Amino acid sequence: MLEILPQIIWYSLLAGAIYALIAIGLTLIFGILGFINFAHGDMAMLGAYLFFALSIFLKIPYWASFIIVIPAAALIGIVIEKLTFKPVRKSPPVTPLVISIGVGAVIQAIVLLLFGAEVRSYRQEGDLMTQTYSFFDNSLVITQSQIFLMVVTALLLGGLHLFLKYSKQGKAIRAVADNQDVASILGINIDTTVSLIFALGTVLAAIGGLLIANEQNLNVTMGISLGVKAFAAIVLGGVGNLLGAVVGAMVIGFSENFIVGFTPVPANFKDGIVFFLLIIVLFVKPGGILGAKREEDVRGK
Amino acid sequence: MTDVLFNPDYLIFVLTSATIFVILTMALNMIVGFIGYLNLGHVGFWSIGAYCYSVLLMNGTPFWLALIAGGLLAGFSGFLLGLPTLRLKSHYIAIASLGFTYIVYSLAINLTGITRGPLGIPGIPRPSFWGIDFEDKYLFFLLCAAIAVVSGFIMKRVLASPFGKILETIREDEIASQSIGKNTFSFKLKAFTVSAFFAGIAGGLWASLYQFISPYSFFIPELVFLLAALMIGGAGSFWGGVVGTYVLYIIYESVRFMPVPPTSVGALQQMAFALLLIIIMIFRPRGIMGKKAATFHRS
Repeated sequence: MLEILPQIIWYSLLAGAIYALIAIGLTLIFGILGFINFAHGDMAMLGAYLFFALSIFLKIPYWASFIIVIPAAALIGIVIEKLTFKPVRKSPPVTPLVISIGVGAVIQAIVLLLFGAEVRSYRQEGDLMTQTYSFFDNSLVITQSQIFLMVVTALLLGGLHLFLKYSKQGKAIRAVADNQDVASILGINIDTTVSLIFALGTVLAAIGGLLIANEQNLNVTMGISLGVKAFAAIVLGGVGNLLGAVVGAMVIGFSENFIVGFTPVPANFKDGIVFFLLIIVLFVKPGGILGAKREEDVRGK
Repeated sequence: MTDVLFNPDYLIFVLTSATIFVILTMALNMIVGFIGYLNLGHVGFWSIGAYCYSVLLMNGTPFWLALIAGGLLAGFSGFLLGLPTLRLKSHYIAIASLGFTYIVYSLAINLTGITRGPLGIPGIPRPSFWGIDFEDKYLFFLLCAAIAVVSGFIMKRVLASPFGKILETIREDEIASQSIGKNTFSFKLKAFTVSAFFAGIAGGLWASLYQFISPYSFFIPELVFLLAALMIGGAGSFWGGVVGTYVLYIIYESVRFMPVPPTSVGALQQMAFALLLIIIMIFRPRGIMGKKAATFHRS
């Protein structure tokens, strides 16, 4: 049992890192617009497919494809926001939520039309990314792509923290999240800020998707599973709380990998476990494990 | 082309499918339209009903018993889901109930001893009782239509009763409802259970119509279709779910007759109903039949 522990910890960290990237966009959007974007996981799927199209179909080098995905994802995020969510910004939160479910289904349908239903992969054997390193007598095997994943995630999360804390736009985002009316009186452009949030969230999700697709295969439904785990992460950490989203993502990454690694629960029951935990947490401690949000915000009055 | 369109086998099959689906939409409307909670677990109830019915029927249980048992098991699961979640706010209920659909899907894949996992259950028979063999497609349609009418009648009576009015007060103002002494949680839980029961009934009929179910028969695309049907018809209006289902079925099936390669029909159908859902939510959130309910409307 013990000899697989380092590997399981490493897999948990990897899973947690990806869920954190996706969860941050979700929690930012929730913090400002007050609705849960069910299409967010599909942005991760879209990022992976964009990267696939660029690097495999168009044969653009890895690094260049990675860099092109960033503005493309930002643009897609802004266009979706302007077309679908902006017209209903003053509606009750159920309306954009239902719309986002539709947006997710449209994105899946488009990817299905363009790429077909077969499972794809952009791993190429012998590539730099598949080079492996072993530690502790082969009880921990790390690939180059996993190191890349961790480094990129750490840089993005650190950069986001600094951006939100010190830059003018970052402060504007926090101000709008805190109180939209006061922020707009103070001359902060709400529309620009919301677009910025969508661009930021979509880029983070798309990068998360393209990084995780190095480790597994691409398929059209991968976004659903990633998205729902990100929901679980933000609920666990307390919705609207950035640090909470990261902590929640790690809790989910660790719990699913430890349960699958050390109990007889089958691996494809992972998602089921995560949701079972989620429903229990909502029941026992609805404010999330960090408890930053007051209970009344979650439960009805 | 036209011979396919006027093929009675095809038409009666689609009509039966839509009629069963109406039970599902009407039941979801009780929660989404009347209480105003976005319940994404409805597909899970549907799945539970279908599996329970299929397993019982294929082990020799009489049709009515299997159908009711499927409904009761779905209703009980609705009660179990409602118990921890119905005190939460709307979007948390959406996440938790989506999680429920996921749990049911995972169970259907993993409980291979009962559900045969990803292989699904083939060869589910059409019922036969009182000396009538419902293998015949017209008779089976009549049976489904009769059950849909009875279910619809019961749900309409429930929603028109004081019980239904209290559900609407929860949507409009839950605190006001509590202030006049209504235990809103208990009302929500009862409505959830009843709604899940009818979803389970629809699941049983669905299994007998398609004669095959698998975990993939009840998942996210079906959920989006269901939501689209309800929203297009108009959540909160009793007839909304009915009208929306038939309208969406016509649109869904007409994609089949467009000059596109057969491999992309599924994706185009999904795109059609998802786009329709987005458009209706932006421009007419109360749907075709909806009254001006506060839930989906600009304040």
